[in-house]
Amino acid sequence: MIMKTFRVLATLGFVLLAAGCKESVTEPPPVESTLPIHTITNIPADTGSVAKYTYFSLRDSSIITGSDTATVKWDLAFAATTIRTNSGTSGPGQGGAIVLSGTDFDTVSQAMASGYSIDTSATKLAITTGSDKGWYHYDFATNIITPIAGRVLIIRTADGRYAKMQIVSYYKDAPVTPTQNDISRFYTFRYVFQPDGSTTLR
Amino acid sequence: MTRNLIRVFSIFCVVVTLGSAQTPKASLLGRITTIEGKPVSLANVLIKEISLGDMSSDSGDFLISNVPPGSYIVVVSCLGFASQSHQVEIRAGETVDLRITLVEKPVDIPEIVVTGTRSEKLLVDVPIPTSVVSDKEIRARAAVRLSDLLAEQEGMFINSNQWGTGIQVEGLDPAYTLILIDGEPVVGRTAGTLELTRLSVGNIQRVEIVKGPSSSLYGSDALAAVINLITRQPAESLGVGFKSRYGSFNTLDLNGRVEAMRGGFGTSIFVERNSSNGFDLTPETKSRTTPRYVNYSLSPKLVYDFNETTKATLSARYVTQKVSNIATVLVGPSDIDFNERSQLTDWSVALSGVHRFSPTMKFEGKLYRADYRTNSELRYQTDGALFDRSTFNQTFNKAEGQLDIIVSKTMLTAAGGGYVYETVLANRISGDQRSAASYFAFAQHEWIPDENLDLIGSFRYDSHRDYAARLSPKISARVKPLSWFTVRASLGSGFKAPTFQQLYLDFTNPQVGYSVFGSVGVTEALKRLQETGQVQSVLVDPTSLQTIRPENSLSYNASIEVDPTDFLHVKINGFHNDLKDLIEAAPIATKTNGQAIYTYFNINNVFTQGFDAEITLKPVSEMSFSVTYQYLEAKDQNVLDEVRAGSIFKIGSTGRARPVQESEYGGLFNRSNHSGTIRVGYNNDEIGLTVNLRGILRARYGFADNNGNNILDDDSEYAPGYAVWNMTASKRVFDFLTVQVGVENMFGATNPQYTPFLPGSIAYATLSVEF
Repeated sequence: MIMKTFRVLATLGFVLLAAGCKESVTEPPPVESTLPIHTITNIPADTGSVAKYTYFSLRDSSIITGSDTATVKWDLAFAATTIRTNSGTSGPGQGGAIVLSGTDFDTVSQAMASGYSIDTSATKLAITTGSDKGWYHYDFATNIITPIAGRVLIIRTADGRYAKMQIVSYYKDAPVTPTQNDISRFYTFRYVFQPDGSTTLR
Repeated sequence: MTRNLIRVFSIFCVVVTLGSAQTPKASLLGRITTIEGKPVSLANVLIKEISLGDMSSDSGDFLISNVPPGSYIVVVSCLGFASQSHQVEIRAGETVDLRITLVEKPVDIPEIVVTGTRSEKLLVDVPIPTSVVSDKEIRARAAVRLSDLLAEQEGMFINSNQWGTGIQVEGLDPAYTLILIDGEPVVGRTAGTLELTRLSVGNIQRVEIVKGPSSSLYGSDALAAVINLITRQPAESLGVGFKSRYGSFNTLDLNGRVEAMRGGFGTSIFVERNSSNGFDLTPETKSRTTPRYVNYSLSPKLVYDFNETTKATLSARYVTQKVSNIATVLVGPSDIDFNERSQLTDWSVALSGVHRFSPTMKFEGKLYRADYRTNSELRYQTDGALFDRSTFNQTFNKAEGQLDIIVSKTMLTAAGGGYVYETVLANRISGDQRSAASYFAFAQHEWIPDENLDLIGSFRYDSHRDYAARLSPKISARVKPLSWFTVRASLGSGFKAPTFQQLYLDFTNPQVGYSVFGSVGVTEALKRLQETGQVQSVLVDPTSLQTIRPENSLSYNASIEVDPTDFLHVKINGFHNDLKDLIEAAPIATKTNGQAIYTYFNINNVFTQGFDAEITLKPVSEMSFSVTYQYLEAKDQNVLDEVRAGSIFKIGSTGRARPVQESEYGGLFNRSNHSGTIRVGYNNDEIGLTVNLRGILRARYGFADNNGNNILDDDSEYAPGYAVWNMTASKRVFDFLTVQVGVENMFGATNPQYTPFLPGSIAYATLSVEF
């Protein structure tokens, strides 16, 4: 009993010490948006490792299949960590992308009028491939892919409209802390699409 | 050194082998001998009432003349023996002859340490702060493996991950601590971690721990600490010991030791078998949290004294360990269970010769060979077919010499040099076998102007074919302004050589397709890939690459020690380590498959700082209480700079991204800001009873990033703190038999996610027999 009290007191002392100095950081309030924020979960991205892309339409929030994947009906295509835009070597559309870093999805209210990259070869894409280059970071030690906080993708769609997008997770059901046991190649992302052709994104 | 040796010997009474009797001619005379009949010199004989006395001669004789007649109490005392009082009646004109047999009594022999200065020094005198864990303490903690022992050491943490069980010191990873056995490095690290569970402490006389950098004497890896395991020397004409311990999870340890001495020849052999079923905190998975293993150790030693001035030691060590587990691997679309078997073999041989040319000059030559091999296999459970095998073979060969000169009463100099030849043969290392040679030279000078001031300066130069040469200096001082107050300070530099992997790796991930090359072979590898059209763009011009530099540090340590009374001891040590040029993999080119080609660069800078405090109380000689506390900060300087510049973002509680504040950055993962140990001990030598309780407490520490910026900056990224309490009790039943029982982790702290190395409460019992 004495020992237990002793242990409790000792642990308590440490907890108090550990919690002693801590500043609170005020989180910015959510931004009002007139356009709907779409959240899309578990988009498979080449789960069988056969380089099979999943084509997605931002306007319809739906997966595009069959012969439509050779048209301007899709905006983004996913296979593993690679994301293609409907542009250049990837498709017939007027797509493109700009990867913003050090910003916040909610704060971005305007798409750029110009400066979009397009896909110019299978590996030179508007959304740059590779760890820390585009949207994700790959950890050698844990084998885990995580979206980089503060990266926002400004997408020009196949028909020349604009959207902003944030990748939330690369793992099935978007676990907060993915581990090697989680199933990868399942995208969760959120986006705002401007149907009127303007660059306004809120 | 002379000063120290004199100090060591002058306080002991000397047992002389032979002596001739003197003819006494006055009032009280006599002879003092041991139980074996050997004369005892320098014993104090005092007639209490009249304060008359004498000191016994080489023959053990003493003589006190002109004693007035009377009845007296004569007190005979001598360090190392129990004091005696005798009632003596002295009549006028008579001569009383007193024969005294003294019984030996162990005394607190001043501790001698070797690690901090590469020469024997008294612990209290050494300017480099050194902690010693004695064999008695090893027994009291019931430690079997080195990891058990270090887990309870203040300011140290066991780091357990997929690469093994290592030790974190002053906030630095296991890769930055050098482990020595009798001054020779133990080789065989996995991703920097030297597996501590494979080292037994059953045959260890003492463990010396020198915190702070010691590369100025030991070269690579000695940044955070040097831990030197000093094995037992043959000391008895015939000694036999046997110990067996059995505990939870079918953990069994059996060890035995035989030693013998005759003439100048001494020999000992230590044999141990250690095995366990391991444990499983996650029954839902097939793989055990800690696997089954069996480990055998064998350490023979031969010592020969040619004469008073020349001595040779030949010692060897052989360890083999087999581990078995079940591994579940995703092969194509489905999980397959494999039988996982791994075996390691670790042996070394050391030959050393010491010759004393004169009382002031000594030379020591050493040859050392160490060999480390591992082989792991995954086999299908169905038909036993091989799925995967990886092997790693490493050898380390060293020849070195050291000359110690006592220049004057206040000046000591040591200098030495050596040659190291290493080889490695492994799956992912390019070429059949890689080898590397290096040379080193070191020097140390000590100045002891008086007994309250001691200054040491040392440096070492290391030269290697495949990485930049390194000069490591260090200066240390000990000042003792008051008899109960000691200040020590040191400033030194440490380094860690690039690993074989960082120099020679040749690896392409078959699933993902990226490639990693060591710094030595990257230019050729890149050319090869360019010729076969696999390179899309080169990010860093390979001709602009500099020779890779060792990771290096500059460290400051300062400590004060206060012993105001016999029962209170206070020690505070502050430290600051600046690590530069940490080696990391970064892209050098991109491949046509969209993946990157990585090589190793000197990138990061890290610092750790904090202090250790220790208070020990001994209200009575049988009881002791001690409390230690460590405050630690360990941060990545590059990350800190980026955080200050506002360029690292996090997803906040409202789901929005915002810059990380400096106050939120928690530093490196797996470091606790606050930690400590508590220890209560009772030890009664007379009845042979020892009981002690030890607590290891650790506040929360960073576990893993989960908000997409790879740094520790959120409360949800911390693992909770924990406390482990261990208790042992041992009782000497007969002179030759001791029984010990113990419980580790009494309150059963477990957490499969954060602390998979803690199995919950375990109990054990030990029997030890010693003749």
